[in-house]
Amino acid sequence: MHEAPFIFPINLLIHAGIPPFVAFSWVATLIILIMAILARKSLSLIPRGVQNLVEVIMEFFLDLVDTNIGHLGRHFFPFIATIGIYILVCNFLGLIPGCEAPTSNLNTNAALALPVFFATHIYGIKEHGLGYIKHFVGPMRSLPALPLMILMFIIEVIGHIARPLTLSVRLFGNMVAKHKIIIILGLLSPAVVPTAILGLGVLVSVIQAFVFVLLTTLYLAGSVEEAH
Amino acid sequence: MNAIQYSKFKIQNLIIIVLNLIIVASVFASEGGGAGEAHFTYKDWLWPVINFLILVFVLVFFARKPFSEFFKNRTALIEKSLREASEAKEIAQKTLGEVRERLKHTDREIEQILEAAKKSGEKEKQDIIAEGARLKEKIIEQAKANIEFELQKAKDQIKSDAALMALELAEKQIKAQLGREAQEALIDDYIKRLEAKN
Repeated sequence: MHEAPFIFPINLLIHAGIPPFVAFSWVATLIILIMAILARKSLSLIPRGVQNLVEVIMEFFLDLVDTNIGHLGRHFFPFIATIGIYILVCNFLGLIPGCEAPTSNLNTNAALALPVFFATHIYGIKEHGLGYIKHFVGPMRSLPALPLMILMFIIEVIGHIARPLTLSVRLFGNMVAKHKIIIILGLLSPAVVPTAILGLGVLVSVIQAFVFVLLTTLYLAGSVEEAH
Repeated sequence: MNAIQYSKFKIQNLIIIVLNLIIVASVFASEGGGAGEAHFTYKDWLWPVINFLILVFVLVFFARKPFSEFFKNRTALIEKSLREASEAKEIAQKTLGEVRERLKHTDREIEQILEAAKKSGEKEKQDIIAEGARLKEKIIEQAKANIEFELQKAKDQIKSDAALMALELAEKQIKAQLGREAQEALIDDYIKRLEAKN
């Protein structure tokens, strides 16, 4: 039993030297574009078909940003929704035979987590100016608490640096684990049994996309809100 | 062909295309002869595809109804909301029209009221002027009568005062000029006159 080869015409791209995760990230982009064009093509006041599905997804993201970020939520909405939809499509690609989830490669996830990291701090500074440092020094801000403030600052900086790492590794780990389990189960019992893991894979794909998006939203919300 | 039949037709076409692609990919891969793909057989495709199709079937079987219900309900809810909004808009427009019409009438009514008020004010003004003139005449007449009365009263008073003063003066003069002999002579003269009358 071998892992199924990559689906046509992606195998042509891979033969041409494009890494599989890049080739499938293009596929994911293409799928999203086609979905967007289809939804846009049949736009009507009363949503049906693809438009209905797209509206439900958009409403979910709108609700998420409005609830967690507040007045700046709509500003971050395109960024957060794009990341969420992209991760979800990438995760789902990993379930199709002959395809690979781009998110099962750490490069893709890092490419998603780094903009979140930079956006968090850029918007934090933009919103609070130099006062953004208050987010790093803890709740006690006085001269006697200076040693504690320094300690808190070091801990917070480590925490903030760890954020993109945890974001990308969490998604990578889950996607790879799911992929490996399917392969191993396929080796042990190729018939029917891996379907259960594929079913769990659907759940993992949705949950991991949601976790990434939720954490992104919370990081952005934390950076633009007032420090307490 | 209605929308449901069309979507079924599209799904069938999609499945056929996917299966074709898988077969083409398998052929391509087996003919490609790459180092990693040399040992690849159709069997390697078989179970992953079957497992995936089972998953799709299970998902479609269990999720189709609730999902389709959800989307139908959503469409129906939006349709209902839009219909209600449209009805509300119609009612609002109708009410607006009525209010505008009433406002037009009200403008006319206001004009009529203003006209009537102007006329009434003019009449009131004339009446007040006439009443004022009448009152003025009456007051002048009353004043004249009063003056006449007061004048007469003052004249009478002056006459009475003059008579009294004349009497007092005469009494004083008489008292000063009339001695005992003159009084007696006057009495005698008075008695003689009485005797002559009798």
